[in-house]
Amino acid sequence: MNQVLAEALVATDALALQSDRAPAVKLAVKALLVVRGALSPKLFVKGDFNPYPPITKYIRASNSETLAGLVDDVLRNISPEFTTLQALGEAAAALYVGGEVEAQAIAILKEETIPAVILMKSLYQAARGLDEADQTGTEVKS
Amino acid sequence: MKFNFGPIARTAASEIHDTFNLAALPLHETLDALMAATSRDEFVAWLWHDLFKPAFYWQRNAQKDKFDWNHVPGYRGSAFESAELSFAGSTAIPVGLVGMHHAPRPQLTILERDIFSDQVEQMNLGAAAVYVQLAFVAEPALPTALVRAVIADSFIRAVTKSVAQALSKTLASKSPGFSRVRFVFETQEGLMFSAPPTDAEIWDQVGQRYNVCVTGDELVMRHLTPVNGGNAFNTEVVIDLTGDAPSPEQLLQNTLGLAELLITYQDGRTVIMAVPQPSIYALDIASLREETLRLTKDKLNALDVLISDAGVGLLSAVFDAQVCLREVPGRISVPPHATPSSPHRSIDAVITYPAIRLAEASAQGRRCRVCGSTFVSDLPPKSDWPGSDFTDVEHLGIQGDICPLCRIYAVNSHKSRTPQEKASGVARDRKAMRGSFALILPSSHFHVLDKDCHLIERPALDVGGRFDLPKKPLQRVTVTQQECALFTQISRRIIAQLWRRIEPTAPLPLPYIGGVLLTHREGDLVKQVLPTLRELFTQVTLRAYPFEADVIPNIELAMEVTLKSDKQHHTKHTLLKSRPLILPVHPGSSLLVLADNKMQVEISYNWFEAYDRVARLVGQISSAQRSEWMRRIAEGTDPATAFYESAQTRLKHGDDGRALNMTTTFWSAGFGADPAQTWSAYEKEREQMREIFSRYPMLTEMFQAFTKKKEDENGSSDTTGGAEADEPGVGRSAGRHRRAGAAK
Repeated sequence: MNQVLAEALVATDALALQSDRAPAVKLAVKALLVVRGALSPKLFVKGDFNPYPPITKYIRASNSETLAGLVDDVLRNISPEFTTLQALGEAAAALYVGGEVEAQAIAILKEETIPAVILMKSLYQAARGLDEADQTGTEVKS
Repeated sequence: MKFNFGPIARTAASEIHDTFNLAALPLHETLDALMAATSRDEFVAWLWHDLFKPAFYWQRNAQKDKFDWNHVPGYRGSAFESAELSFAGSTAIPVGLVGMHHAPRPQLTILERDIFSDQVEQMNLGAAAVYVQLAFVAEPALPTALVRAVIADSFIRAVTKSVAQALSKTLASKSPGFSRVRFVFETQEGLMFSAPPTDAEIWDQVGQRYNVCVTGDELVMRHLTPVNGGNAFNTEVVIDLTGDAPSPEQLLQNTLGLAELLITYQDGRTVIMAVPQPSIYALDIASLREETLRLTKDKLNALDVLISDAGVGLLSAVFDAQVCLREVPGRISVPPHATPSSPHRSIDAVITYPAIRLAEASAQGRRCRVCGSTFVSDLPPKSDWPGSDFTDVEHLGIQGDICPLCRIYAVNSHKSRTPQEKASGVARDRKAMRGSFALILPSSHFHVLDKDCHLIERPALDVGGRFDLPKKPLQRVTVTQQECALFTQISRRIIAQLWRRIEPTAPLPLPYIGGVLLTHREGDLVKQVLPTLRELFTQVTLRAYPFEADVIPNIELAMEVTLKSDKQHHTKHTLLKSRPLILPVHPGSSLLVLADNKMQVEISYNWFEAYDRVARLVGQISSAQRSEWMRRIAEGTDPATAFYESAQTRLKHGDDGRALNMTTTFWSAGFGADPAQTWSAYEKEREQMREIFSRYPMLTEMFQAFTKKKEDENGSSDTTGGAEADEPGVGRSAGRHRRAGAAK
């Protein structure tokens, strides 16, 4: 899990985005990866848990005005008992960047939740080596 | 769109010998025959009098300091001298009619200079040519456009049929007879000539491959042009002299109907037609008027237009007060032949004749409050309010008179069923002159720039250098009446092509004027006009060997269509809120379409580009989601989120996981697989959608109109509540299948 998250975070940093909003997009994706990486493994025990719809739902439902608060809101709703991974450290710290970039990242997460979640999902699943043809969207347990 | 009616027929204008125009040889020869012939033999002779022009054998005449176009069969000293004898025999005409048509003592009764001052310039009608004119003494307002178009179509039909009958009789006077003329233009690469070529070489390789013969019911003329590699322009043009209106397919395959050949000029206020000389065709204005009235009445009845008001016949009043048929005055008698000093027949004066009549009528003091026309009529004044359904006070004021043409518009309320109609069981709303409407007519107007005419090549037999443009430039300095006919032909064929996209099998609704007329009864077809308008924003190219030109023909168009669901649409007076438009057929054009009772939408090439961009994304979305997806996009939502939310709605918010998976599939299909590239593609698409929907806020409604074959309220939505069973669309339930991608 730690390795997957670390690789996904590195891939996010390495994204060659042709966008004026590139720093904010990357920050938004990292915030989503923090959520995804911190989800308790217990949620996946049954094998039919798809984490992305609830992530989408609770991001859109949150009223938080900070990135860290947003991540916290989502995790409390989906996985109050979250896991701790070494790779989460720097990524979680980056959420406190503040300023224009953080504001823009929050705006992306609130207004373009679906594109941001799909981008994060593709990066996470690429790191995990999941078969992209999986129709259920539910991740297989590793 | 590309057109090719054969090679050009002239490179001179009067005494100016460095010009060209784009009128094709078949057009020139046929117009000569129709306007100048005084007998069967002359008619046939005119049809092939310039037979060898497509050889483009040009010599320099140093003595006269000009170029000679060697093209006349039988002309002494020409490479084609031996041809006339043979072809005169096969067509049964006297030798000398063709060969002598340029000679000092031609044997033809009327010469080109008598009927075609227009070979010279656009200012004057032919001095000895016979013209008949239909003039509407009325302003060309949209409320009267339907009736005017029907009258014009009826007039053209009446003239065409009577001319066809006279021609048939003339051509049947001697064998062989025919009712069609086929011009065949072939090309040959690789022919070799000496420098300069000898007459024997030209005859052996080119001249003897020409032919004139009657096969079955057709007079066939074969032409051959020597060309260089890649410049072949093979084509065939068929002239139909029967007086029948060609089908759209025939029009698009270069069949020219008699009606379009006879029309010299047309616009919303007048139609000017040339007819044969009196010895072939006895022009009878009274008979034409009677036939035009009869045909108009039949057509208006078929269109369900009410043409009486409280028992008073309105159509007769229209013909008495506002429709004028006349022979255009000023024709000279031949002999003597016309000369530059012969009295001029200004075409301007003829075109503006309706305005002159309107000015004369102003002295009588009656003025129409609907169209603004002055008029003189025996019809009792009608200053009362036209009816309880007539609500557009801002367009009409509250008092004043109404002219006969507009009286027809005023009485055609959706509640105007007469007691007789009701008694015979016809109770449905009347929809001919309210609500959706489309009128598309050919236009004589056109635009060509010299710089857009390109010489394809210098013809192989141009030994004198007529087309050596670097040394001796040619200018397209004139607009001739033959070119007017040419561009009206192109305009007709553009409309024929539009109509085939709208309706795959039916003939044109107004076949003689070459137009489309659709009323609210055919509301579904009116909607199908919208996507076909794309055809009007394209470049039109005319190949007229040795030139190829980017040209801008025009069409006349008036259109109103409801895009939003409006079951009362046929009760609205939308014809008061729009006007006919002369639209150049060109990528830079745009037009306003009245999209409902309140709003106009500008449609252009850019609009269709925007439509295509949206269509590409919409193509990936199921029909059940499209409408909501577009509504959300129009509100500013990004394409992926709009997809997710419309999928949620479709799934009734029961399966967010499935909605997200569907969105992921949509994302991959639309933006690719590489994460960085997908995001860039997504952002680009989002910005374009935002820009498109902010520039074209009615796109959603237009898209639905484009893709739905039929609308629920189509032609129905009867306010009587008793719609008849034969009405399309009545009683249909919502949710029928849409036709996807109809406008692509």
